[in-house]
Amino acid sequence: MKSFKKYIVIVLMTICLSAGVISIDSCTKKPVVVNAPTGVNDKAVADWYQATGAMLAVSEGAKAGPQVIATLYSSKAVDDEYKTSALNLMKDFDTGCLHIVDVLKASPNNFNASTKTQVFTLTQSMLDELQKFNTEGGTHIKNPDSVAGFNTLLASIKLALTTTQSLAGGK
Amino acid sequence: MSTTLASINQDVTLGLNLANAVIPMITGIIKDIQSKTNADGTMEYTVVLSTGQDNLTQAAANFQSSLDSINEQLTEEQTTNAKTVAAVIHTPTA
Repeated sequence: MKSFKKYIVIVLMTICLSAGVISIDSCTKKPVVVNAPTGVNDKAVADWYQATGAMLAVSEGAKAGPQVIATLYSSKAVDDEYKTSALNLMKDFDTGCLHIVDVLKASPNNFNASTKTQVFTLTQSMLDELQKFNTEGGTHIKNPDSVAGFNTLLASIKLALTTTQSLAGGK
Repeated sequence: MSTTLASINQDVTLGLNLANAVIPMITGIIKDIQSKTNADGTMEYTVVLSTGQDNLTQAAANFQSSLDSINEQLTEEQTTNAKTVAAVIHTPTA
Protein backbone atom coordinates (compact mmCIF):
# COMPACT_ATOMS: atom_id res chain seq x y z
CA MET A 1 0.00 0.00 0.00
CA LYS A 2 2.90 2.35 0.86
CA SER A 3 4.60 1.64 -2.45
CA PHE A 4 1.32 2.31 -4.25
CA LYS A 5 1.02 5.73 -2.57
CA LYS A 6 4.64 6.43 -3.47
CA TYR A 7 3.84 5.52 -7.08
CA ILE A 8 0.88 7.91 -7.14
CA VAL A 9 3.03 10.76 -5.76
CA ILE A 10 5.69 10.14 -8.42
CA VAL A 11 3.04 10.06 -11.17
CA LEU A 12 1.47 13.33 -9.98
CA MET A 13 4.84 15.06 -9.71
CA THR A 14 5.71 13.93 -13.22
CA ILE A 15 2.39 15.28 -14.49
CA CYS A 16 2.93 18.69 -12.88
CA LEU A 17 6.47 18.93 -14.24
CA SER A 18 5.33 17.88 -17.72
CA ALA A 19 2.54 20.43 -17.71
CA GLY A 20 4.99 23.13 -16.70
CA VAL A 21 7.46 22.17 -19.42
CA ILE A 22 4.74 22.16 -22.09
CA SER A 23 3.48 25.57 -20.99
CA ILE A 24 6.92 27.16 -20.83
CA ASP A 25 7.90 25.59 -24.14
CA SER A 26 4.74 26.82 -25.83
CA CYS A 27 5.18 30.33 -24.44
CA THR A 28 8.74 30.70 -25.70
CA LYS A 29 7.95 29.51 -29.23
CA LYS A 30 4.67 31.24 -29.89
CA PRO A 31 4.37 33.25 -33.09
CA VAL A 32 3.53 36.94 -33.15
CA VAL A 33 -0.15 37.53 -33.82
CA VAL A 34 -0.79 40.16 -36.49
CA ASN A 35 -3.84 42.16 -37.55
CA ALA A 36 -5.37 41.91 -34.09
CA PRO A 37 -7.85 44.61 -33.05
CA THR A 38 -6.37 47.55 -31.22
CA GLY A 39 -5.67 46.83 -27.58
CA VAL A 40 -5.63 43.05 -27.91
CA ASN A 41 -2.51 41.54 -26.37
CA ASP A 42 -0.97 38.82 -28.56
CA LYS A 43 0.30 36.83 -25.54
CA ALA A 44 -3.23 36.75 -24.19
CA VAL A 45 -4.50 35.51 -27.54
CA ALA A 46 -1.78 32.82 -27.70
CA ASP A 47 -2.54 31.70 -24.13
CA TRP A 48 -6.23 31.59 -24.97
CA TYR A 49 -5.57 29.46 -28.04
CA GLN A 50 -3.44 26.98 -26.09
CA ALA A 51 -6.06 26.85 -23.33
CA THR A 52 -8.66 25.89 -25.95
CA GLY A 53 -6.39 23.07 -27.11
CA ALA A 54 -5.81 21.83 -23.57
CA MET A 55 -9.55 21.87 -22.88
CA LEU A 56 -10.06 19.83 -26.04
CA ALA A 57 -7.62 17.29 -24.59
CA VAL A 58 -9.51 17.29 -21.25
CA SER A 59 -12.77 16.71 -23.12
CA GLU A 60 -11.34 13.68 -24.94
CA GLY A 61 -10.57 12.12 -21.55
CA ALA A 62 -13.96 13.12 -20.12
CA LYS A 63 -15.74 11.63 -23.13
CA ALA A 64 -14.13 8.26 -22.34
CA GLY A 65 -14.97 8.58 -18.62
CA PRO A 66 -18.54 7.20 -18.57
CA GLN A 67 -17.46 4.07 -20.44
CA VAL A 68 -14.61 3.52 -17.97
CA ILE A 69 -17.01 3.88 -15.02
CA ALA A 70 -19.51 1.52 -16.64
CA THR A 71 -16.80 -1.06 -17.32
CA LEU A 72 -15.34 -0.85 -13.82
CA TYR A 73 -18.71 -1.45 -12.18
CA SER A 74 -20.03 -4.03 -14.62
CA SER A 75 -16.83 -6.04 -14.13
CA LYS A 76 -17.32 -5.75 -10.36
CA ALA A 77 -13.90 -4.11 -10.06
CA VAL A 78 -15.58 -1.56 -7.75
CA ASP A 79 -18.36 -2.10 -5.21
CA ASP A 80 -21.76 -0.88 -6.41
CA GLU A 81 -22.27 1.44 -3.42
CA TYR A 82 -19.77 3.96 -4.86
CA LYS A 83 -21.23 4.04 -8.36
CA THR A 84 -23.85 6.77 -7.89
CA SER A 85 -21.46 9.14 -6.13
CA ALA A 86 -18.80 8.53 -8.79
CA LEU A 87 -21.35 9.25 -11.53
CA ASN A 88 -22.52 12.43 -9.80
CA LEU A 89 -18.93 13.65 -9.42
CA MET A 90 -18.28 12.98 -13.10
CA LYS A 91 -21.47 14.91 -13.88
CA ASP A 92 -20.23 17.88 -11.80
CA PHE A 93 -16.89 17.66 -13.58
CA ASP A 94 -18.45 17.76 -17.06
CA THR A 95 -20.77 20.62 -16.08
CA GLY A 96 -17.86 22.62 -14.64
CA CYS A 97 -15.76 22.03 -17.74
CA LEU A 98 -18.62 23.26 -19.92
CA HIS A 99 -18.53 26.49 -17.88
CA ILE A 100 -14.80 26.82 -18.58
CA VAL A 101 -15.50 26.32 -22.29
CA ASP A 102 -18.21 29.00 -22.14
CA VAL A 103 -15.81 31.46 -20.49
CA LEU A 104 -13.15 30.74 -23.11
CA LYS A 105 -15.68 31.04 -25.95
CA ALA A 106 -16.72 34.46 -24.71
CA SER A 107 -13.20 35.83 -24.47
CA PRO A 108 -11.14 35.11 -27.58
CA ASN A 109 -10.36 38.77 -28.13
CA ASN A 110 -9.28 39.55 -24.62
CA PHE A 111 -8.03 36.69 -22.44
CA ASN A 112 -7.28 39.23 -19.71
CA ALA A 113 -6.61 39.10 -15.99
CA SER A 114 -10.28 38.94 -15.08
CA THR A 115 -11.07 36.12 -17.52
CA LYS A 116 -7.92 34.25 -16.54
CA THR A 117 -8.95 34.42 -12.90
CA GLN A 118 -12.33 32.90 -13.78
CA VAL A 119 -10.67 30.08 -15.73
CA PHE A 120 -8.05 29.55 -13.01
CA THR A 121 -10.74 29.29 -10.32
CA LEU A 122 -12.91 26.97 -12.40
CA THR A 123 -9.99 24.68 -13.28
CA GLN A 124 -9.04 24.50 -9.58
CA SER A 125 -12.61 23.42 -8.79
CA MET A 126 -12.39 20.77 -11.50
CA LEU A 127 -9.06 19.52 -10.12
CA ASP A 128 -10.76 19.24 -6.72
CA GLU A 129 -13.62 17.30 -8.34
CA LEU A 130 -11.07 14.96 -9.93
CA GLN A 131 -9.52 14.35 -6.51
CA LYS A 132 -12.94 13.55 -5.05
CA PHE A 133 -13.65 11.34 -8.04
CA ASN A 134 -10.45 9.45 -7.32
CA THR A 135 -11.44 9.06 -3.66
CA GLU A 136 -14.99 7.95 -4.45
CA GLY A 137 -14.08 5.60 -7.27
CA GLY A 138 -10.38 5.01 -7.67
CA THR A 139 -9.42 4.09 -4.12
CA HIS A 140 -12.17 1.47 -4.00
CA ILE A 141 -11.04 -0.41 -7.08
CA LYS A 142 -10.00 -3.91 -6.09
CA ASN A 143 -8.03 -5.06 -9.11
CA PRO A 144 -4.50 -3.58 -9.38
CA ASP A 145 -4.63 -3.53 -13.19
CA SER A 146 -7.86 -1.56 -13.09
CA VAL A 147 -6.33 0.82 -10.54
CA ALA A 148 -3.50 1.46 -13.01
CA GLY A 149 -5.94 2.10 -15.87
CA PHE A 150 -8.13 4.37 -13.78
CA ASN A 151 -5.15 6.38 -12.52
CA THR A 152 -3.77 6.75 -16.01
CA LEU A 153 -7.11 8.09 -17.22
CA LEU A 154 -7.29 10.58 -14.33
CA ALA A 155 -3.64 11.55 -14.84
CA SER A 156 -4.29 12.29 -18.52
CA ILE A 157 -7.23 14.54 -17.73
CA LYS A 158 -5.33 16.21 -14.90
CA LEU A 159 -2.34 16.92 -17.12
CA ALA A 160 -4.45 18.76 -19.69
CA LEU A 161 -6.41 20.59 -17.01
CA THR A 162 -3.22 21.67 -15.23
CA THR A 163 -1.94 23.02 -18.54
CA THR A 164 -5.10 25.10 -18.93
CA GLN A 165 -4.69 26.36 -15.39
CA SER A 166 -1.05 27.31 -15.85
CA LEU A 167 -1.98 29.32 -18.96
CA ALA A 168 -4.67 31.08 -16.95
CA GLY A 169 -2.15 31.71 -14.20
CA GLY A 170 -0.64 34.50 -16.28
CA LYS A 171 2.86 33.15 -16.81
CA MET B 1 -13.78 -15.00 -15.06
CA SER B 2 -12.31 -14.51 -18.49
CA THR B 3 -15.05 -12.00 -19.38
CA THR B 4 -14.33 -9.98 -16.23
CA LEU B 5 -10.62 -9.89 -16.92
CA ALA B 6 -11.25 -8.91 -20.53
CA SER B 7 -13.33 -5.94 -19.36
CA ILE B 8 -10.61 -4.82 -16.98
CA ASN B 9 -8.00 -5.13 -19.68
CA GLN B 10 -10.11 -2.88 -21.90
CA ASP B 11 -9.97 -0.33 -19.12
CA VAL B 12 -6.23 -0.46 -18.83
CA THR B 13 -5.81 -0.23 -22.59
CA LEU B 14 -8.17 2.74 -22.75
CA GLY B 15 -6.29 4.49 -19.94
CA LEU B 16 -2.90 3.88 -21.48
CA ASN B 17 -4.08 5.00 -24.89
CA LEU B 18 -5.27 8.27 -23.40
CA ALA B 19 -1.99 8.85 -21.56
CA ASN B 20 -0.12 8.36 -24.81
CA ALA B 21 -2.54 10.57 -26.68
CA VAL B 22 -2.92 13.60 -24.43
CA ILE B 23 0.66 14.90 -24.44
CA PRO B 24 1.03 14.59 -28.24
CA MET B 25 -2.42 16.19 -28.56
CA ILE B 26 -1.37 19.31 -26.63
CA THR B 27 2.00 19.56 -28.34
CA GLY B 28 0.21 18.85 -31.64
CA ILE B 29 -2.08 21.82 -31.08
CA ILE B 30 0.93 24.00 -30.38
CA LYS B 31 2.64 22.72 -33.53
CA ASP B 32 -0.61 23.23 -35.42
CA ILE B 33 -0.51 26.94 -34.70
CA GLN B 34 3.17 27.01 -35.65
CA SER B 35 2.36 25.34 -38.98
CA LYS B 36 -0.04 28.18 -39.75
CA THR B 37 2.61 30.75 -38.96
CA ASN B 38 3.83 32.90 -41.82
CA ALA B 39 7.46 32.72 -42.92
CA ASP B 40 8.25 35.89 -40.98
CA GLY B 41 7.03 34.33 -37.71
CA THR B 42 3.69 36.12 -37.70
CA MET B 43 0.20 34.69 -37.63
CA GLU B 44 -3.12 36.15 -38.68
CA TYR B 45 -5.36 36.95 -35.72
CA THR B 46 -8.43 35.56 -37.50
CA VAL B 47 -6.70 32.18 -37.98
CA VAL B 48 -5.98 31.91 -34.25
CA LEU B 49 -9.57 32.76 -33.42
CA SER B 50 -11.22 30.37 -35.84
CA THR B 51 -9.03 27.38 -34.93
CA GLY B 52 -9.45 28.08 -31.19
CA GLN B 53 -13.22 28.33 -31.58
CA ASP B 54 -13.19 25.01 -33.46
CA ASN B 55 -11.33 23.45 -30.50
CA LEU B 56 -13.93 24.78 -28.07
CA THR B 57 -16.87 23.63 -30.18
CA GLN B 58 -15.44 20.10 -30.29
CA ALA B 59 -14.62 20.20 -26.55
CA ALA B 60 -18.19 21.27 -25.71
CA ALA B 61 -19.57 18.43 -27.83
CA ASN B 62 -17.34 15.93 -26.02
CA PHE B 63 -18.33 17.17 -22.54
CA GLN B 64 -22.01 17.14 -23.54
CA SER B 65 -21.66 13.58 -24.85
CA SER B 66 -20.09 12.54 -21.54
CA LEU B 67 -22.82 14.34 -19.60
CA ASP B 68 -25.58 12.62 -21.61
CA SER B 69 -23.99 9.24 -21.01
CA ILE B 70 -23.62 9.92 -17.26
CA ASN B 71 -27.26 11.03 -17.01
CA GLU B 72 -28.31 7.85 -18.80
CA GLN B 73 -26.35 5.73 -16.30
CA LEU B 74 -27.78 7.68 -13.35
CA THR B 75 -31.32 7.08 -14.64
CA GLU B 76 -30.56 3.36 -14.94
CA GLU B 77 -29.19 3.40 -11.38
CA GLN B 78 -32.35 5.07 -10.07
CA THR B 79 -34.55 2.55 -11.88
CA THR B 80 -32.52 -0.38 -10.55
CA ASN B 81 -32.60 1.00 -6.99
CA ALA B 82 -36.36 1.62 -7.17
CA LYS B 83 -36.92 -1.98 -8.33
CA THR B 84 -34.73 -3.27 -5.50
CA VAL B 85 -36.67 -1.25 -2.92
CA ALA B 86 -39.99 -2.41 -4.38
CA ALA B 87 -38.84 -6.03 -4.27
CA VAL B 88 -37.84 -5.67 -0.61
CA ILE B 89 -41.17 -4.07 0.30
CA HIS B 90 -43.13 -6.82 -1.45
CA THR B 91 -41.09 -9.69 -0.06
CA PRO B 92 -43.41 -11.63 2.25
CA THR B 93 -42.04 -12.03 5.74
CA ALA B 94 -42.20 -15.37 7.47
